[in-house]
Amino acid sequence: MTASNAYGQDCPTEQEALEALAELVDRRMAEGIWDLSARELGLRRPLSDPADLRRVAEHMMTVGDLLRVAGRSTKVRVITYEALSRTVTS
Amino acid sequence: MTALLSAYHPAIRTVDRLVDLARLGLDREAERPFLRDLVDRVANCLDTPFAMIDVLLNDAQVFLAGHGPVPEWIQESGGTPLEWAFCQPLVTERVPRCVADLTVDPLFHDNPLVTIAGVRAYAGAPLVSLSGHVLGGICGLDVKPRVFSRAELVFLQATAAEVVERLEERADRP
Repeated sequence: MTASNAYGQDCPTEQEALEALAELVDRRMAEGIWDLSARELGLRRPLSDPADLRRVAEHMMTVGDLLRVAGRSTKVRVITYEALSRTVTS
Repeated sequence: MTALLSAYHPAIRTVDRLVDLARLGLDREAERPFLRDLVDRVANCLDTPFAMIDVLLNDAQVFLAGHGPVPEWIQESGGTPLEWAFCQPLVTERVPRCVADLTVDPLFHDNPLVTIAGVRAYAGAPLVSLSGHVLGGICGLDVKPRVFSRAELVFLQATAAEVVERLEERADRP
């Protein structure tokens, strides 16, 4: 039986979290990100403890921030290279 | 590029610092008109043709605001590779610094912004977030060698605090 709180909310599950992520990115990527996050935290799947789900969620948030920063960095480097390659004639 | 600068990279690439600048949305491509008067003020008070507010990402610097005739390629990219950033030392030194002649500076003499673009003098102050991380810097740049006074560095530090205040006001945080 699924655990629920006094407001009748069921305990979030790993499957639900994965489904929600797979709606945003493709399923294979969702599985990959989730699985790598759990492994990096030393957690063994399947996850059932809400505290573990929360740790994976927080880890994904941090990785998301870092992905954005790293993506912008690379974009700046590439555009700089392209722009200077066009303007420098020697 | 001088190997001396790579000594700053571990501090620049600290995860907590990068997450902090992401918290403030500083990696995002966006116009930040609320910073414009501050770079204008720096250029006027230091009497430099250029003034910039920059943030150091893991592998590039991005400009949040600028004063002066910014080259087209910088307008297009929004920044430069990290190793060209004059503000790198600020991340560990955490105090204002200046270089009177970049062509003879051990850190920056071979920087393409010096050797090709012609930047000659630099004065900058660190942008320190509420969390205590150095996000980048605010700086004045000149195309001729020159000395900066202590009062100018103090002014830069005060302006840096104002920049951070405005960035924090706009942070997407609970």
